Order: sequence, then C-alpha cells, then structure tokens
Amino acid sequence: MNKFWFFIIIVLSLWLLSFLISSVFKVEDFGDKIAIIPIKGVITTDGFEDILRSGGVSSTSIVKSIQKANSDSSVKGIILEINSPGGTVVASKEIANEVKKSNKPVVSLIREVGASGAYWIASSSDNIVADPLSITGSIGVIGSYLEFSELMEEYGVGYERLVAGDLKDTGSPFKKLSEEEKSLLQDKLDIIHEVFIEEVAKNRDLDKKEVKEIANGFFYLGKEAKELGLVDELGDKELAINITKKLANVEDINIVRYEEKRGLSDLLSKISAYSFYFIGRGIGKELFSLRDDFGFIV
Amino acid sequence: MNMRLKKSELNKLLGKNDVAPLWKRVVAYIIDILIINSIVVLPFRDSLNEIYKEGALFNVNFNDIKSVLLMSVIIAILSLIYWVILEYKIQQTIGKHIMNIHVISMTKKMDFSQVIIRNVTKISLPLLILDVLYMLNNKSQRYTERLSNTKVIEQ
Repeated sequence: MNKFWFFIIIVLSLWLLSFLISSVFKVEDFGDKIAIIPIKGVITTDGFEDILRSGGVSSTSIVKSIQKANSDSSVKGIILEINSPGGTVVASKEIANEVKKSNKPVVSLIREVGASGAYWIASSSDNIVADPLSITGSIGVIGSYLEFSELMEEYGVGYERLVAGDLKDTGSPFKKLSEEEKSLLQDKLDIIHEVFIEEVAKNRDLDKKEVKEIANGFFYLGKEAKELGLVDELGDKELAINITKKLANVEDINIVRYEEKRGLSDLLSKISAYSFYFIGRGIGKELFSLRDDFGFIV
Repeated sequence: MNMRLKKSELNKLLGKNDVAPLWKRVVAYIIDILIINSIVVLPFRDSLNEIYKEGALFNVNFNDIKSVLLMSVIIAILSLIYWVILEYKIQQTIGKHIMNIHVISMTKKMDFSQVIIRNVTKISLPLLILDVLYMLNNKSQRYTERLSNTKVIEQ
C-alpha cells in the first residue's frame, strides 16, 4: 500500500477511535455529583421567546431537570441557581412542587434577583443562600395591563362589543373595566396572594401572620431578607456548594450543570428571524414615509 | 579533479547508514505531537474543559483526579498506537517521513516488541526527557533505542 494512504488510514482510524471513546467518556460519570439547575429570566410553563429575545425559563424543562437529577443515583444534591424576577403562578408552583418532592437536598442560590414566583420556588428548597445585595421576596401578585380604549377613540377606532356572557371580555385592553369586573379580578389576585403567603409560611416554617405583614409585594435586599427569615444564609455559589455538600453528607463532588444546549439550527433560525424582523421594519418605515410624503400608502 | 566523496555518499556506497541528526528528530517529533494533538487529544477537549471550567485547578477533588488520570491513560495509549503501528509497518511516522528519516533494527527484521520498547517513554514527557538525556553519552541512540536495538537513520 502506498505510504500516503497508510498514513491517512492510521490518522483517520485513530481520530475515529478517540472520537468514539471521548463521546462515551463523561467526566461527570465519576463519583458523586451536585447538579446545578439554572433558573434564569421570566418563568412560564413553556418558556419565553420572541424574535428579538430568547430568554425566560420553562417550568416544563426545569421540572424535567429536577426529575433527571433525582433519578441519577450519583447526584447527591441539587442547587437551583436563581436569577429571575418571577413569572406565572402555575409555572412557579409546578417547579416549587417538584422541589418539594425531591428526595435529595435542594439549595437555592439567589444571585441578582429571586423575587415573586422565583422566591416561591426558592422557599420550597431546603436552604436559601442569597447575595446580601440581591433582590428577593416581593411576595405579591400582579395582574396589571395596558388599557388603550382612549387612544383608540382618538384615532377613531371603535370596539364592537359582542359577547355572550356579560363578563366574557373582562380584561380586554380595548375597554375600561367596570367596578364589578375590577372587584372580581382583585378577588382572584387576593386568592393567589393568599396561597402564595400560605406556601411561603409553610415552606419557611414561619407564622402566616408574620409573612402576611411582609408580603406587601415590595422586594427586600438579601441582607434584609435574612433578618426577616426569608433566606437562610448570605453568600455566593461556593457557600451554596458547601451547604449542599453538608446536607448531602459528601466530600468530593463533581459539579454538573443541567442546561438546555442550543444547537446550530437554533442559531440559524434566530439569525433568520432577526433578518426578517428588520426587513419588515424597513418596509414598514418606508410605507410610513410614503404616507407622510404623499398622504397615502401604496 | 576533486574526487572526494561526502561522508553520507561514502556510507551509502559501503552500505552503512547515517545516524539522523538530532534536530531532524526533534522536528519530526514536534510534527508528530501536533498530529497526535489534533487527532487524539482534541476529541477529549470537552471533557477536559468540563474539569477546568468549575475552577477545578484551585479546587481539585478526588473524582477529578480519577477522570484526569483515566483520560491521560487513554490518550497515552492512543498516542503509543500511532508511533508503534507506523514504525512497525513502514518504519516511519508522518514527522519522520517529512524529515526524511526512518527507524531500523540493528539486529534482524524489526519486531513488534522492539517498536513498543523504543516508543514506551513517549507516553510521558518526563520519561522521554530521561530517555533523551542518555544521548549525552551516546549521540546516536536514546536509552530505549539501545534497549530495543534500534536507531533512527537518514534515508
């Protein structure tokens, strides 16, 4: 055989062999692990993504990660790395319930923000570590929205109300809320607020009355939250790891991050979405300038 | 007319081989190491990054040591395969081929054990350095080359 082809065959075979071995070989397969599950951005049931931003977190994927960590016998503890202003009630509750079901110690680490729904999740863990200057607490519920009926009126746009069931369009941004509708919506918010307070009191082993007093929806800095009993320790990731190690009763551990990996196709689809958005914006801008120049749109 | 022959030409006529100069051997080794890095070490990049990204350098634990050791053994074996197979089959690695040098057995037809012995120190740099230091006494051979009765010559 020609030397050149022999070199090529050896090089390719060795590369293939290394590639196969390295794909089977995983560092985290060795010894005990602590799983870090990041909770970043707004929490919703299916995540949050639009053409300009991809952010937020889906409760479905977080629940799956917690279940995965729980079913892995080498995972000895879980750290929820929280950096979130909260999210929808159901999504936060789904994660909080899964945390409570965990058969392994769960420590929440609040870095910059762990407020509202994100704090609900944190409260359900075994220990909360927060940065002294982090934003936390914010035990409250918000249902505000933009209402632009007056703006529509100014532009001569009308709202033709067609409903079967008088309260069907409650919360529509095209009309003002009636007193009855306002009070009904407020009732719902109060119910959710009550459940939130109960959950925090139960999770943190605090008196419900005490929690109610501080649950005015305003946030607390980590330092203040510690004094109020809303967090256990002030510190950083290292402290959270040490606490998890202590709770799990392990010494040597590997850290593994349970994170959704984005592939090339995600990147390409994002780039194309960006391009189409700006093309559309450009066309829109041109049409507006035509209207301004000639008084009509072609 | 000047009829003097160069030493290498004279050796060729006498059927003797010129020992490969050290610089050629060093360049050949660097070329081979670069190739091994690309085909053997690179696929393990993710696993190695996994160990170092969590600051393991400052916070080494027993599990990391175990995985680093196992990875090193795998990489060493695969690297050894590169040298052994190529030198056994065609007496040259890619680096040696580029530098126009090759390995010969000083006794008989080269066998597999000779190739393994002469390359075994290449799995670890400190061992290889000790092996090469032997050349201070014997300019033509590393210690393992003397043990395996092999040497590297110019073509």
